[in-house]
Amino acid sequence: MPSWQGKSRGTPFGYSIFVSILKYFGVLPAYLLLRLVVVYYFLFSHKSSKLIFDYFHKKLHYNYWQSLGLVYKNYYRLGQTIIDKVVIMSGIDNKFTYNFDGEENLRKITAFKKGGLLLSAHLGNWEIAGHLLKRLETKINVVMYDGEHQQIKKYMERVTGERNMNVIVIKEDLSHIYAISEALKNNELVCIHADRFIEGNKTLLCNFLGQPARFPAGPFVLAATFKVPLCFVFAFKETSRHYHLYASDLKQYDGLPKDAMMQQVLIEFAAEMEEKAKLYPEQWFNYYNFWKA
Amino acid sequence: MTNENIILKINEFLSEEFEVEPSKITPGASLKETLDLDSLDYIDLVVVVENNFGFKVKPEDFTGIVSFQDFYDYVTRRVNAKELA
Repeated sequence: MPSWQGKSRGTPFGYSIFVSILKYFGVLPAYLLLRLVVVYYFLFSHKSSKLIFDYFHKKLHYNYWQSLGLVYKNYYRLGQTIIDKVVIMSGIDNKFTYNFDGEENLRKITAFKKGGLLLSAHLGNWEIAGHLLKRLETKINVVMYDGEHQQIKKYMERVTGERNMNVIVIKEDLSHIYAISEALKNNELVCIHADRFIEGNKTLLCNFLGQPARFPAGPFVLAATFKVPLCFVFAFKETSRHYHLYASDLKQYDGLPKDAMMQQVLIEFAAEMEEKAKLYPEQWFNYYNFWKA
Repeated sequence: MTNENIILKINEFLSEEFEVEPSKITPGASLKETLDLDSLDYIDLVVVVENNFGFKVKPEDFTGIVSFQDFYDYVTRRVNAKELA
């Protein structure tokens, strides 16, 4: 099955251990414990390890041993970003810092007062940026599929309380339609991941790291339908306590017909993803065969 | 606008916007399957309806819409209500 299955891994018990450590001892001991957890995933998650190994070895052309090392580093980075998210969202004292290339582009979007669409990917973790970016003084809405296990979700809601950032969940009742269009009308930013699709949803083909890959059509439909200011955003963890945020130049597609615009946005988005994937190879968090037709 | 004109207009923009053969748009056909709508495509549909008929569509309006006939009934009802207001 080529697509993401719509579920995140882990158990509420596992999450609760980490949250207790974070509250009483801080981030670094949690990272230490994480190293052990990662060994477990590294040794026993054969399927995802194989897929991520192939990504490093076949797509980014690292040698065998480098790729093996990157698989471990990848799990570790994923764990760190989840821990960081919990710390930031729950208001636990932290010393996270960030620098932001292209912050002026998001400011330009808010100055237009037409709302804005931000396309991101499961490459790095933009959700962290949404929480760090209080100084932007605008609301950021993240559109996501209701994929996390309900139990974990309920536990996390209890720990983190109300979020600084609004999550718009794509549901069968279509309430997301109203939420997205209202957010844009209120000059808010709407961020959606444009790299991962759920089986049954429409996709678009585009070359990515040398081979055609399927991307979800939905985010590109949004871009072509609303025609609001658009840019690509990413956030990467560079050290234990430092994030690097990126926002691309504003994308303009005046006069292009809908289909041509969707394809053009996708081509530029995939190119931006490629560039960032090469800069931060270990922060690729898609654990399925991204290139399977 | 007469009901016939509304239906003609709907068929025209649906066929164009969703690139569907006009012959496939029949009253009994499934809206979702014929237009190949996924969860985010409905946004496209909402925006197209709002732009063409000038009324606001709420998500819950789609609850009972399965076939094109349901969709025609919904749009004509809203257009007529708007004209009477």
